[in-house]
Amino acid sequence: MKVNNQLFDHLFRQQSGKMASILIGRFGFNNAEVIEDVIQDTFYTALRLWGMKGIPENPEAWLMKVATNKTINELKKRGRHKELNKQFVPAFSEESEIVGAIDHQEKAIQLKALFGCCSPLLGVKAQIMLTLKLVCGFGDKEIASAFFMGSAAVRKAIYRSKITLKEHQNYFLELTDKDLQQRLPIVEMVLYLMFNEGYSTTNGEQEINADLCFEAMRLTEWIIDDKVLCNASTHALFALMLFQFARFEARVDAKGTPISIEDQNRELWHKELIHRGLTHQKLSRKTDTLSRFHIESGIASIHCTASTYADTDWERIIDLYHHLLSFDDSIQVETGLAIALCEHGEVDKSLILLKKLESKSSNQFSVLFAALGRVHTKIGELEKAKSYYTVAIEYSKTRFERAYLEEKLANLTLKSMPR
Amino acid sequence: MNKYMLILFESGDSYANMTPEEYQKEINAHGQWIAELGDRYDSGEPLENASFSVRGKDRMVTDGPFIEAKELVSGFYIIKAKSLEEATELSKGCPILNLGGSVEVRPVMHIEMK
Repeated sequence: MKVNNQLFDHLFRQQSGKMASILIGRFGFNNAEVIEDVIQDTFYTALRLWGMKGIPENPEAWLMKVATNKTINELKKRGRHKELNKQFVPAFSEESEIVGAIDHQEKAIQLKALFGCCSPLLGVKAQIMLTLKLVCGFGDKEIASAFFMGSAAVRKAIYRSKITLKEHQNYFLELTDKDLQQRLPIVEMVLYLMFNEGYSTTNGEQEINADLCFEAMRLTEWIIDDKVLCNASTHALFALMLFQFARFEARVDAKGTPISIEDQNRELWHKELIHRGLTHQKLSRKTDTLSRFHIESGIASIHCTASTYADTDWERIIDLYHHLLSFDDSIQVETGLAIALCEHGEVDKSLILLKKLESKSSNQFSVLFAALGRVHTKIGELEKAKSYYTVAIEYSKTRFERAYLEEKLANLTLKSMPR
Repeated sequence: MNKYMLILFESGDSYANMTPEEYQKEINAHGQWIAELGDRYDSGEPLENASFSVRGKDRMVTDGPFIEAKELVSGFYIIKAKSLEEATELSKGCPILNLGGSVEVRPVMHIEMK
């Protein structure tokens, strides 16, 4: 044992996900609750022991071994130890001399667990929460803060999902390669939304937001590493994430207020991530079928490779938005198109589109009203602009977005004051 | 320098809802504290919760842990210090305190036997 050692970041979270996938793989989904308690107890034991004695040489192996033994003891106590899953292949060698092979098998099981959590029987939010809990090792508290929910509500939702899966679903180890391929679009969507949840909601828990993005990227990379599963769309999704994440730090100021892409310090953009994004974008082109991720990563790459805001190739962005509409004609995409039109100098077209969206009304999409504010500022109708910003503020979802819009409004008020 | 035993009491349910991330932070905090103690740290042993107690002349056995107890002995450290006061001062760095636990500082008796 080594004293005075620090664990690398998120080791426990990652191990928690790994232990859950593998132990559920080994002992069956029926024992998921027992296994979750055991994992909690394993961390508690580690705290007592390592806190006093220092961290063992191989903390991952220690945790896995202790959790496995505790699970076996617990199931013996309940007379359920015969439920050992017979399909479960990996023979855990205690000394793990064939580390590479075990690693590979473990990864495959974790990947199956991910696809198991993304069951078509669950709603998309439930899929994300279950993935965060069982595959990523997030605690209820962390999931709650990422989704603006209470811990108790998260616990209930996850419990319900587990019941559904127990009753209806093929056990995740039984998923065949064909099942996995069929589920790939769902999994990609879950990872996409998980990433967006972390990227676009600045709810003050900065750390959790970055962690969500990070986890979504980590899981996407698992699929990329799996030669059979990985699809052109997976590369496109990963490229999109890399382009977005490259701007993660530049997109908010020290107080957490968003900075629009126009005003971001491009020096802060992470060059290496952009570069990796471009590599995966290239790989994503080896296909005849375009996904929405192809188009979105296209838009993101144009932003990432423009040296200044003025240099942005709006024409191509407009073109891509038109493509994107065939996948998703939501108000978010149409507003994006309108903003691009406005930036390209096609203010009239932009205004017509925004007005059309506004008239559909009943929507409370703050970005639409902020865009209307922006276009009206551009054509010099400051009073109208101000009232649109005021509506946008009313509909803003987070205090950070509100602060951003209030600043826009204050600047406008300053501009329109008689000298 | 003399030896002192720090007996750690952890408060009842402070670990019940901890996330893996929080456990990791706790362990790191302990590691850092031990590093700060340097050669003042002598040894330490954590204890399991399961226990029996034997009482009195009729050797009455009861099993524990005493669930109703708000505090639970979770382990002990032996540290070296110049005085009880200094040992007490050193024990203030113990991370268990941040989670509502407490530390009892007791000098190890060191009267010569000869």
